[in-house]
Amino acid sequence: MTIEWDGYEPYEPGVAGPPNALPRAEAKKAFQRCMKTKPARLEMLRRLVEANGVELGNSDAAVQDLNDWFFANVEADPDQPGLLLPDWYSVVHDVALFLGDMMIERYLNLQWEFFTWGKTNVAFQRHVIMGFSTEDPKFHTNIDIDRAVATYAHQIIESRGSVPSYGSVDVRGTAVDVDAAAARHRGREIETDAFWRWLQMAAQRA
Amino acid sequence: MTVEPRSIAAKAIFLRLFLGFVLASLSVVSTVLVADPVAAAPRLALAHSYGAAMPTYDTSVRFLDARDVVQVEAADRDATAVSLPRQSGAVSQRFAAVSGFGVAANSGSRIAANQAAGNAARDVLAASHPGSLIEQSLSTTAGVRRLDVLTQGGLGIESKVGRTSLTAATRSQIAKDSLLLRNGDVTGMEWVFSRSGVTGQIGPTGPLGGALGKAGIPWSLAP
Repeated sequence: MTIEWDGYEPYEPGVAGPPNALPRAEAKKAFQRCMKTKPARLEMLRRLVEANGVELGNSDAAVQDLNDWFFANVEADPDQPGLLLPDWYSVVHDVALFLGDMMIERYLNLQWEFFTWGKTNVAFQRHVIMGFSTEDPKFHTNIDIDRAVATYAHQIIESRGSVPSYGSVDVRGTAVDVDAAAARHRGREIETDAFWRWLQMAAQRA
Repeated sequence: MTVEPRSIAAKAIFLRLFLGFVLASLSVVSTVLVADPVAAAPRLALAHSYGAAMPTYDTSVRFLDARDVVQVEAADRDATAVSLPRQSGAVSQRFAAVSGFGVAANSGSRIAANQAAGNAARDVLAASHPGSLIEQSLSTTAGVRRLDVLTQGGLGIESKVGRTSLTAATRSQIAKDSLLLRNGDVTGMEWVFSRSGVTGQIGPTGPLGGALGKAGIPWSLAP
């Protein structure tokens, strides 16, 4: 399937590394930039999907349309198995902002947070959704919607044959064959309504 | 009226000295404006803000200044790449290899420089989703769950060595894994058992195997 990019400009994070590897001040700036540019990114996403016949809307049906479009079109990098084409990482960023904003719009106690609790936490110094009234705040539970969308995208391209090579990793002196474990979980059906389900999950936890 | 020749000569000398001083001052000022790094600072800032995308019509002085900035940026990125957390897969190498700014600026092509800047930005985004993370943690309502491996496809792997029983610790791990699966923080979990080099034993005890099965968590024995 061919995408009509309609002048889409990828997001410029304005930093030189992934958030968890940055000094706090720089990561905070990246977060602030992410929030400040959110309206522009959502407009960029709206233009992109509209150019491809999808209307960006807040209803469940519109969210499913976005999910269908994403599922059908997300592309693997032919030169780097397991990776998305670079522009799609920007689309992932934009879609995550859209879904995160929808969660906040529906449940006002939720908010975007700059996650700083635990350097080894996968959400460390990333933008996540927090503020769940049903959960004890001391656990710093969150929805890392950006990681969720990226994981979903990686699952989709992997199901189409773009398989990453993880190799074996050393865990406390023991070699773990990650490729073998990943292969055992390959072939599972990938949900086609993930966006809607994440919104439902946020509703339950909100 | 008579004019004294000595007076005319003195005025002429004074006028020449004055003009010479003015010309010399202008020369000094122009030299400072072109070559002084402080005077050139605004231009460097502009180059930086455009990702060192230098126009091809620039003077050689500006071009060299911009390349200096580019080299510093490249060095910064190399330093960042070295300090990345433990991860495997292609993205980390790809991110570490980012050097698009420098190459493009040296080529002097604005389009190429913009392209390189865009590619570098996208590589940063891609590097935020590395191939697999090792010994990272996730938040749950039962506390932090430290996973041995988390792949980019969302598979969590717990590594156990030797014969492993159902204890308070493993029970807690299973409970947290169930929460991660329920909330969609992971797309799958697997416990991998390796043979102990000390006892020669491997695998879960019956109760642990049962608890994993009840939680819907598959397990395997490493060959």
